[in-house]
Amino acid sequence: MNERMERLFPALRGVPYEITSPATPGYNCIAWAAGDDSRWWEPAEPPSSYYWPEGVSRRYTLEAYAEAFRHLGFEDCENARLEQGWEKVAIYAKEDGRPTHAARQLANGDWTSKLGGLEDISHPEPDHVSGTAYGRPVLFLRRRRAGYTPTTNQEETNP
Amino acid sequence: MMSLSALQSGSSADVYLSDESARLAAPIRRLSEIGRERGAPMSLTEAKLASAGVLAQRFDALAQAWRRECGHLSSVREMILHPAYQQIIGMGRDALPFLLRELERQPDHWFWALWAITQENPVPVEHRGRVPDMARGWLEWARQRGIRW
Repeated sequence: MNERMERLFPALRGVPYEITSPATPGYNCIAWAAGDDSRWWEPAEPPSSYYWPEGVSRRYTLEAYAEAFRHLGFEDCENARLEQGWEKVAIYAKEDGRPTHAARQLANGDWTSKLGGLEDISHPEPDHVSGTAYGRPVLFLRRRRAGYTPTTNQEETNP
Repeated sequence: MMSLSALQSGSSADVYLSDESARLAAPIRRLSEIGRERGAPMSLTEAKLASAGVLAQRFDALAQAWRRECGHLSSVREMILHPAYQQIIGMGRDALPFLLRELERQPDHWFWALWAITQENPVPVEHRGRVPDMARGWLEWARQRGIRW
């Protein structure tokens, strides 16, 4: 239990979340959802000195954030439900449509979020970090999970 | 160099040898007034040190507030709009030693403030987003210009 975290994200109270990294400003939620823990991703135009995928619009819009993930092979999908062999991300936005956060689904169906410059956490549902700070998940995308080999007539249990 | 008595008089014909001297004049004058009121003599050096201490305290308080209230944000654009961050930018070049000290001690997203104050950006494209490298770039930039922190 982390009091500060639960104050910022009240939906975590009573939920089996886990802190999975130390706090660091070295990478943010967008980077972490994209699998990058070495850079802070930010669409700001220069003189901002942050990383943004080449060729993706440098705008603080849901579409630009979604495009950053499509650039990595993600495609839009309907929901956050676990689908074997698929890796999903959720993009969060405030009511005014401003993107605020991204979370990535783990192979077991839980989600992982980097909370700004704070720690990474794993949490059972995307909505466990919804609220005043981040708004709510509004867009889901998916791509084939690395190393996944589809089989027929049996449930895949790749890690 | 302007004498302490000239600073104390607050003459409208004040002339300063540097912008930094001009910026320090008002707090030095105030500290001298305090010294006179309390009957304690204060040298220009003591006044300057006291002023630097005031700046340090102000910066530290603002930096702490910013970290406390913006630590969970994933957008630097939101972080820099926080009033504490804006007030640090408002300190101008007085904030540079403190910003550089912070980068050396615990790299964080002070880069926008540094750019806003200096209008320079020493971060090469290949280091974009790599916070430790960005911090090192700024510290090297400062060393090359003889800026002390």
